[in-house]
Formats: sequence, C-alpha cells, structure tokens
Amino acid sequence: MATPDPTTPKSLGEKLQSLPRGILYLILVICTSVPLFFNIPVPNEPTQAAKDLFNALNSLPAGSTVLVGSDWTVSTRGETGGEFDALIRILMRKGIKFAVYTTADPQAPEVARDEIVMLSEDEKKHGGKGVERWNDWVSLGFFPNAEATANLIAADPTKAFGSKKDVKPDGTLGSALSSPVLKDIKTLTDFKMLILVTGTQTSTVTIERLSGKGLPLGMMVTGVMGPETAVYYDSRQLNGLCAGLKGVYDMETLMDGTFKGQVNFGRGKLYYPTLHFALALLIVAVIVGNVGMMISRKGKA
Amino acid sequence: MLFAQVEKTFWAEGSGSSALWLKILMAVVVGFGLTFAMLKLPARGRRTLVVGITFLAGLYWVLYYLWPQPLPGRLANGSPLPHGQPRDLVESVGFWIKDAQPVVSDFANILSSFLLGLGVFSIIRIHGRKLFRRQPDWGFSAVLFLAMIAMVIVGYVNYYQTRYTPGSSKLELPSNWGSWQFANDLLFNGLLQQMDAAMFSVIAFYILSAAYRAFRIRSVEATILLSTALIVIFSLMGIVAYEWNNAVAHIPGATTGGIAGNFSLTEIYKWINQNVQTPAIRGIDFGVGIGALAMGLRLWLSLERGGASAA
Amino acid sequence: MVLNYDTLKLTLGVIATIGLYSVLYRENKFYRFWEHIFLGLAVGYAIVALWTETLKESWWDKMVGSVPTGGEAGNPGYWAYALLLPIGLMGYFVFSRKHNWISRVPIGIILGLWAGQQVQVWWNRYGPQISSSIRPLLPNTTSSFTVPYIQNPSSGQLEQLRAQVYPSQAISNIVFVFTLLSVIAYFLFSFEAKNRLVKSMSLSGRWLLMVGFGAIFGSTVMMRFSLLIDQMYFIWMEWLTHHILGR
Repeated sequence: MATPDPTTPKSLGEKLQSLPRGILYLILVICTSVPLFFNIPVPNEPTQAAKDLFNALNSLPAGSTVLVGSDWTVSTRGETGGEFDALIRILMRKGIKFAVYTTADPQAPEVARDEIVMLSEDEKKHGGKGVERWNDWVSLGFFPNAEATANLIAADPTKAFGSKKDVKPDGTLGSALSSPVLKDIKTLTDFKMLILVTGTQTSTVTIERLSGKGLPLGMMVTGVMGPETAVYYDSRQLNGLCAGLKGVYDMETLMDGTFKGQVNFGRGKLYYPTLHFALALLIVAVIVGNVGMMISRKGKA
Repeated sequence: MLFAQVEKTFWAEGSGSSALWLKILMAVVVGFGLTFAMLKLPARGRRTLVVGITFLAGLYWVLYYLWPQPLPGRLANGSPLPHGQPRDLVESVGFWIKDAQPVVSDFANILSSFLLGLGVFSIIRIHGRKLFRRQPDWGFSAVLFLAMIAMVIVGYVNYYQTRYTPGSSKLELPSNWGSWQFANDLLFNGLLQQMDAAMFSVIAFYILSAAYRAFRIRSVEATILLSTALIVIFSLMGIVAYEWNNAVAHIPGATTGGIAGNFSLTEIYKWINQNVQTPAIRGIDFGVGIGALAMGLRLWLSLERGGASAA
Repeated sequence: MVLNYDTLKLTLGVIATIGLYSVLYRENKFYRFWEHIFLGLAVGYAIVALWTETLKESWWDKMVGSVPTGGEAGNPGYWAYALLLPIGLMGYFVFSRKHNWISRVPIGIILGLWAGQQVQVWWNRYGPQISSSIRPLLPNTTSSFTVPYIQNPSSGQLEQLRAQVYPSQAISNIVFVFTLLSVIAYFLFSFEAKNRLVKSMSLSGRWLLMVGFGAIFGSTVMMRFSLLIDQMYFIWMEWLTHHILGR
C-alpha cells in the first residue's frame, strides 16, 4: 500500500476524517461539562414501561415487604444510582419495607447501604419519615452464586436468607428473618414484588428462575441492557422496566406527578439536558466523518 | 433425614462442643488427605473423577426438576406425613431432593466465594513476585500492596466496630463516625468507588472516537444500523421528541385518531421498537439460548473438549 | 473554601479521576500509580467482602453453630461444611503446572450445577417469549384500517378493541414475525443454504439484525455518556462549585 506523501496538503475530505483525537476529547469534555452549570428544562414523556413500573410500585400496600436486588456499584452510578435513588424514595414514601440482597459484586452491598442511609437522612431533612434499619429495611449481603440463590429464593426464601444477620437498633446482631421486615415472609409470594437494579446479567438469571411464579418482577437496568431486557417486558415476564438515564428521568417525572412538594428530581434532571449535547456531538461527529468520506471519494473519482 | 434441622445427629453437634471441633478437624484432615491422594491419581482416573463429579452435580438439578415432587400439604406441623415416613422410595427420594436444596445452594455460594478468591490470589502472586524480585516497575507493586493492606485493615476493623461493638447501629450515621469509619469511607467511597466510576467513564471517549473514525455508510447494513441508531438517539433526546411531536400535533386530526398522529417521533420509535427491534433482539436471544442449552448438555455430560473434564 | 473531611475526600477523588483520565493522552507513570492504587483497594476490599458478606455467615457460622444469646435461639454446628475448605482450595491448583487438573473438581461442581439447571430455566426464560411471538397475521375486521381512536374508552370498549385485529395491526404482526424468523434463519442456517427462500430470509435477517444492533448502539452510547456526565458533575459541581468555591 502506498504511503501518503507528507508534503501533499490534505484534501478537505481527508481533513474532515482526521480531526485529532485530543480535539475530539476536549469538545466532549466541554459538551458534558458546560451544560451542567445551567438549569435547562427538558420536556419528557415517560415510556409505557417506566409508567408500568411506577404504577406497580405505587399500588403496593403500605406495610408490605418487597425484595430489592441491588447489583450495581458506583461504576454505573450515572444510571443505576439514579434508578436506585428513585426506587428507595418511592418505597420510603409508600411505607413499604424492603430487604436488599446482591448477587453480582462484593462491593454492591456496601454501596447500597451507604446510599439508603444517605437517602433516608435526605428525606428526614425535607420533612419525610426516612427508614430505619432493621424495622424498615434489612441488608442481606452478597451471594456469589446468583443461579443457586435465585432458585432457593423461589423455592423457600426463609432458607435462602436464614443464615443472614443484620444490625438491630440496639446495636446487637439478629437473624434477618426475625426482623419486622421479614418475620411474615414464609414463601416467595409473601413478597409483594421483586425489583432488581442491575448493570449485569443477573437480570436474565432472575427472569429464568423467578418469573412466572406469582411474584411481580420489575427491573431497573443500564442503557446497554435496555434493548435486551425490553424483550422480556414485551412478553410480560416483567411488570415494568426502567432503562438508562432516560428511564431515571421518566421515574423522577412520574414521582413529581404523584409526590407533590417533595424531593423528586435527582440525577435524571441533572444529567438529562447535558446528555442532549453529548448525543448531538456524536451525531455531528458521525456526519462529519461520513461527509469527509464522500468528499474524498468524489475527489478521487 | 440427612439434611433436616435436628439438634444432635451424626451431621450436627452442639456449638462450641469438643465433639464438633474434633469432627471439623477430622473433616479438614480427610479433605486435604483426599486432595493429596488425588495427586497420585493416574491420568486415566483423573478424567473419570472430574466427569463423575460434574455429572453428579448436574444430576441433582435434573432430578429436582424431573423427579416427582412431594405433595404440598404433607409438610404441615413440621412433619412430612401423617404417618411419619415416606410411603415408598419415590417419595423418599423426592423429600431428600427437596430438603437438600438449601445445602446445595450453600455449597454453590461457598465454593463460588472460594473461587472468587482466585483473582485475588493471582494479583498477589504476580505483584508479590515483582516486588520481591525487584523486577521493573516494582515500585508500583509496592503501592498496590500498601493500598491493599490499608483496605484490608480498615475494612475489617470497620466491619467489627459496626457489627460487634455496643451501639454499633449508631455508626451508620456520619455524625457518629469514629476515625475507622472515616478511613473506610475515604478508601471505599472516596477512592475505590470514584476510580471505578472513572474507569468506566473513559469508554465514552473511545466510543466517540470510534464512531467518528469508523462509522461509515459503506454498505446497506451500515446504513440500516446508522439510521436505526439515529432514530433511537433522537427518541432519547426529549427536546427533539417534544418539538417533532409538537409539529405533528398541529396537523389536523393528528391528536384525534387521524393517520398523521402515527408520524410523531414517539409513535415511529414505538413501532420500530415493538415490531422490528424487539423481534430482532429476540431472535439473537433465541440463538444464544439454544447455544446455551446445547452447551449446558455438553458440559453436564462432559462432551466438551477442553472443558472442565479435560485432563 | 472550607477545609474539612468532605473537601479532602472529594479532592483526593478528583486527583485520582484526573490521574486515570491521563491515559487518554498516553500511558504514563501518574496513570499507572493511580491504576495500581485502584487495583490494590479493589483486591483489599474483595478480601474483606468475601469473608464479611458471604463466608462468615454462610459457611463459618453454619459450621461452628451458635449458642443462644439475647433472645436469639442457638444453632448446632454442621461439621460437614468443613469439607468445603479443601474442595474450595483445590481451585488454587490452577496455578500449578503439574497438578492443575485438580482445579477442575470445584469448577466441575459449579459448571455441573449450572448445566443441570438449564433443563428447566431455558423454558422459564424462552417459553413466554415464544408464546408472545405467536401473533395473528390476518385481520378479523375491516371496519377501520387503524385502531379507532376513542377518547376515555370504557372497559367494555377497551375489551372490544383488544379482541379485534385491525389491518394495521395485522401488518405490524407480519413485520414482527417476518423479522423474528429472518433473524433466526440467519443464525440457524449459518451453513450454506441452497434453498433460495432460506437464502433470501437469511439476507433479510442480516439487515433486520442491523436494526437491533442500531438500538443497542444508541442505548450503549447513552449509557457511556451518562457515566461521563456523572464524573463531570462530580468534578465541576460537587467538588469545585460546592466545596471549593462554596456556592
């Protein structure tokens, strides 16, 4: 292949296709930073899947218990963090107890615990009730083998969580099954719903073993997993689905329509307007590259 | 009744009793003894052993799903049957399989935990060798070990304080933290989680660069891919969707069932999503699923060359 | 600027983030320094979490049991759990050149357990998808081409609407089924097909696959940019604006 002559000036087409990487990265940093300083209102129509998930959560009776699978860490905080925040706020405000378990990452249980404590304090600061560990929520820890754990939860949740202990308000450890959250749980359907917040394939593991057993399933996933998980929403294996940053903003929008006067918006509202600029940059970059290719081809022809 | 919850049987002993510790010690000695005996196993026997273990492990779940399950209602009052015993071998095995599930699940979780430690061991081994042999860049390995030791110490002390000391529940709130909680927060949230997020976000730069350099409309397939990606991206942009839908809404009849209403961005995207994207991804999923089913069977029966049973 | 723990923590996080981002320019020692700190912390936390989140309660407590304390019933110790230690440690023979076959024992157990489950879980996952893919391809009414618009329909009207298959819905269903079969044809008939129908279905399957990939690409892009925006928010807003500038 002939090497290009460095003395020959680049054609317009070649210039358009060879912008330095550094310039592209700098423009990306500007596009994802500058809009954060401005309050840009963006209209939003939530998707049907997000509406179904919100309605499923909103119709849970107060005092009931749900299972929350928290399979996310700060690496995907931009999306799953916002989803988790929205979920916990809804559960707190509806007075629904929840048990949090993890099957994906050893770091995830501590991330979830820290986030719940932070959200609870924030709710209390704004006049809400918050949640108390042991009485309103328990942390069930990490289960490395997602397949075996999901099977056992389906067969007998008391055996799945029987060995787990959590901290009581008096500082001592007690069996999680004796907490007010889980004391009435004997079978899978004693949980009113299972909501999984995940950025990994634990979504399919959960659907394989827990769908169709009389327990409503909801999922909150990253954008990458949105299309593949939507397939299960389409076949009604999931009662609702929230995917990606758009999903976060959908949930916050729906919360704002229901929980008036409370803190509803978080990462969705903060990041969504900026996302527009980043996506627009991507579109422009692809167009510029293709225009450059077409000009080059014309020039050679 | 092998796995039933009883106070004292061959499998269970009182907590802290010398009988329990003796049995634990013997189990560990026998286990390691068997491991060392396996080192002497001839090559032919190795494959047979691994194949047999893999098959038995899989056989449990196959039987769980295919063997007649114990009838519901026969487990009232903790007693499986009114007359106290299974009627026949089929029912006996059914109860045994069902009772064994928590233990099998425990075994799977515990073994997975031990195997997760392989990654930890590997890192320690590689960087330990670098450090002690003063190989190039051994300074970075020293930094790695310092960070690791700091996290281990802080992590364990924090764990102990937040679960086993009086008043530990108060330590949940930052206002009650001691120095170990601050140290844990600094290392875990301040550094580890933050760097985790930074690592994942770097990919955004590469995606933009790759899309700019490589995403070219050179074929029918590339054109279809780009067009669909653009429609998806536009539908994700709330402002674009709003303006487009607004423009369509001004067409007479669009909001009252007229055909124009189908050309809003939301409706176009919904139609493509429901009728083209979903079946396309479902088709991929089916293909993957059939492959996974075939792979599952081949692994269970150890038909896979170079798999777990290869010796 | 208020010098407190939060400011220190965030500043350290920002320096670490910039250190990792420096790889975008080129590989350098500053990046490698932070990379190794990240790895060290991750490994250290894994050592802690594997014990505290899993092994302590699922293995050790079950093996040694517990005596009754403060209202909590005691439990006997099940000594057989001790056997899991040598079995689990067999996995570490993977590092031995001579005896690495022994590591296949615990791996074989895990893989065997997974494989045995596929018998049932495959149907749990795909059965509902297969049934939801079977759709009516012929309309059963021609009173309207599209689904009629009814403002605030009653439940009876909704039921009637759902029972009908309008021509537009039938066309959509045909597109759905055709897409699904074409994509499956592309995958399953990956050997050379002589039949012209199969060949053309395979080709259209390849094109329709691109629609699926386009959706995945669009969603992936959204996710990666969201993560970057989260980091930019952390640097510019959480650290700089709120903590350093105090606004």
